[in-house]
Amino acid sequence: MALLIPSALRAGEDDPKGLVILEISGALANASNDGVRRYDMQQIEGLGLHEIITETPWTPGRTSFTGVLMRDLLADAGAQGDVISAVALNDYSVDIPISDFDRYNVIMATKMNGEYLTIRNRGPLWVIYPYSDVRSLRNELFYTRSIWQLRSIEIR
Amino acid sequence: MIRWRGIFDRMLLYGAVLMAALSIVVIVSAIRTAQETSQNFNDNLTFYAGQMEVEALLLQDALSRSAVNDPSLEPGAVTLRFDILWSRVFNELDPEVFWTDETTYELAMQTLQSSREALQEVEAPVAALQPLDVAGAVAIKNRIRPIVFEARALHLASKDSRVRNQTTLVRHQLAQTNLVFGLIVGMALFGVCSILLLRADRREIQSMNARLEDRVRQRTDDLQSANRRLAGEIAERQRSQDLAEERETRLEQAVQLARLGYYVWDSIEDRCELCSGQHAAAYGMTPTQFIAAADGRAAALELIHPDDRTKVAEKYQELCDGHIIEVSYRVKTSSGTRRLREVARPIFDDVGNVIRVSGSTLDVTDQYETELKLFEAQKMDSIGKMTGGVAHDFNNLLAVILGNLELLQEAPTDEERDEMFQDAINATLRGRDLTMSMLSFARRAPLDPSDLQLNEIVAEMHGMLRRTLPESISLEVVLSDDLSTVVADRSLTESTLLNLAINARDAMPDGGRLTIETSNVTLSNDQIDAAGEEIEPGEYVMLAVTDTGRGIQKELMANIFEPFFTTKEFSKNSGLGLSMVQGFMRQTGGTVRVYSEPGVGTTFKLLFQAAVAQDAVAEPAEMPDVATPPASLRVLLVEDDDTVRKILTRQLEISGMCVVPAAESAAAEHAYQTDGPFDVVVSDIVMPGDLQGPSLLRRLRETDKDLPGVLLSGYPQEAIMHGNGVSPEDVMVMKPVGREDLIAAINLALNPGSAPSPKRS
Repeated sequence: MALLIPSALRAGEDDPKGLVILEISGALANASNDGVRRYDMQQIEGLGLHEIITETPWTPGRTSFTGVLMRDLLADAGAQGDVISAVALNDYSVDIPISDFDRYNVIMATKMNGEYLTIRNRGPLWVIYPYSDVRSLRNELFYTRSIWQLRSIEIR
Repeated sequence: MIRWRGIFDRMLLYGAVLMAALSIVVIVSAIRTAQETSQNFNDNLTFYAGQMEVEALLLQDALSRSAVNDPSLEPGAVTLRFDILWSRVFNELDPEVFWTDETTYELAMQTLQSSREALQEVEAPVAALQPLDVAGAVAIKNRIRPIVFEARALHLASKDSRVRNQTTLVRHQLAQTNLVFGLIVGMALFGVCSILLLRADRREIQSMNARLEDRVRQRTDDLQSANRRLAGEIAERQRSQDLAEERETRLEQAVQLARLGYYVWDSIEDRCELCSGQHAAAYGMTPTQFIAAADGRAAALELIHPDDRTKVAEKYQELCDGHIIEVSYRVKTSSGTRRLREVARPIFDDVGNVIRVSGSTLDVTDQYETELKLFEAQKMDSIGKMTGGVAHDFNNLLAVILGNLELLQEAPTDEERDEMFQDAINATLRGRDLTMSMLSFARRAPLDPSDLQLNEIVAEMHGMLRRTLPESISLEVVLSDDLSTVVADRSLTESTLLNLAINARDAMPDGGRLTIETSNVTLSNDQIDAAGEEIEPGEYVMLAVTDTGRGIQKELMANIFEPFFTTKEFSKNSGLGLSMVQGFMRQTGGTVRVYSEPGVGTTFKLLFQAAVAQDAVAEPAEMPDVATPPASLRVLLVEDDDTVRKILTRQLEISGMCVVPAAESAAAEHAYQTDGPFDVVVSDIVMPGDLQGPSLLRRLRETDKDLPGVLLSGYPQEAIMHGNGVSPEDVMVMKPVGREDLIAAINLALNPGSAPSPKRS
């Protein structure tokens, strides 16, 4: 189901040129001077895209989600912790063990059904677990970790 | 009981299975309920509504701060908040995830729907809103406010629903817990019951096993014992069969050996049905001949000796009347008369009629003849012994005579002389009577009973007894007054008294006291029974002779009355004394009683029946005629004793015979050769010289084998001792012998078989 897109636009460790949509802070190796790693859409998508087609409690029918694998993102940021604390635009926050990302192909989706996610569509970033593929994920615990309108991540 | 147990066991099994199934159902249902609860009764909707309320409030806040143009308000914040609320409201809520209950879900749908409408209404105004546009901001806020309340209401509703659901769940779980608990208790009970039952079963099985083992053991034992019994029975049967065969063979042999004949008589057909060879042989026939001859009872009787026919006919009638018979009879056959002894028994049918007779016969001819011969032999033996023993008794009499005759030579006074004569003659007469009494014993000679006064007899015999007894023995006589008369043979009574007195004397070799006593006694039935005597109760006269001698040993008491029993030397006594006494007393109708204690003495009590009117029991003695031998007989007399020879010579010469006397055998042989021939030889048995009487006779018979002989002896045993010389025709005469006896003896020797006895003169 995965669809890898070659990252033609890899930008190295430099600050993003576009609108910053994600800040990663905390225990990470590849941070800028202020200790924060910032990403724009181009950088995120440059980490390689992965598609999950699944049902979710919040979307009708089977839906295609495309985005970067969380483990690729954290590797890119040089995350050196066990848990991430994710915070949304609406100030919703949830702690997710990093082990989830090694065990499952969890993505940070940027597109739903081929279109970029908007805030109204719970974008621009939405953490999606492969619910349809792994039955054990279909419960409240993982539903709460499926944070949408993701704004920032702190690695602990 | 067992059936109930079976039903109970089955119920237990079914119960256990049912409970296990129920437990599984309950547990499965509990798991499912928990799963459903975790899926359905979650916090999703509550959280969602809460977030929705917060987001609506944040939108309100942004609007308020935009109206006052709050500098801290980020640019585009109202749009951001609007878009966030929008994303919240424009959302398809998966019922599986957001379900609480029907009402709440409906409320959620309504809230979302009304919220969407409100947001769509204010979308344009929000986009057009400028800072410090208080009116615009207020208008939007008013339109947004219901979303806050509805969101809050949904939040509370979903919370209530969750509480309700949780309560239900708890109740559900409680019920399930109770059920599971009940099941656990039930299973525990079942377990306990099962354990108890198992233990009971085990015990039962153990006891059953034990019983089974017992039964098996018992059955095994039974079988073994049955086998043993069977084996025993088989062996027993085999043994019985063998025994039966053996017995049959033995019986057959026994019948043959015993020369036992048998026959079966058909009483209905009146003919002999079966006849053994032995039975027929007794009649001098074959069985076929016998069956043909004995055609009917009358014909069968014809075969029997005429003299026995009546007897046998009577017996046969008894047999036909149903009795067992035993009969002896004679049968005349070509080989002589046979004697048969027959035992026969009737065989009955069901109603008791005699239908058959089975009889056995024994040919007793030979036995009869043997018995006759034996009887003769015994008689001869008895006579021999008796005549031998008589010598002693006789010598006693001779002693009396001799004593008196010797005293006569002294001839003190006439009176004394007369008494002595009388004693000598009496003794001589008693000697004769004694001889006669011998014969009376041997031949049951008739008695000559007469009325007797026992006191008189004792008194008459007193003098003779006194002189017979030695000085060392004192004689006492105790006579009862008014003694009853008895009826008895006088001389035998005297002889008996003498006999007892002599026995008493012999019992007291070292002296003692002899008591003669008479008295009347009355015998009762009890006394007679106690003594075991065969006499009538009543009045008796007792004559008792008591000595103070050595007594009779207890173990000998039973024998003392047996003929020829004696404790004395044979030469002294015939052994006939007491048996004669007993025979005499029995013939007289009385008895003898003996009381003896070894070392103290012996009492013989003669009990004579007191005379009432006793008939004579004996015929008068017959006096045989003595044929007088020819007077011209030439007699060779051999006798060593001069006196006896002289008297004998004179006695024979008086009878007209020509006597040549010889003192011993050599002289006799010489006389036989020089003065012969002789018609008869009369010889003493015991003589000096080479030849005894019998030997002399044998020698003489070498020349004249028919020479008659008369042997004289004081002791006939001598003749037997000297053996072969005596021929059956020789006449033996006991000394002393009277003239008549001598002549009779000679007469008998001359004519053998003429007179019964020379001594019966």
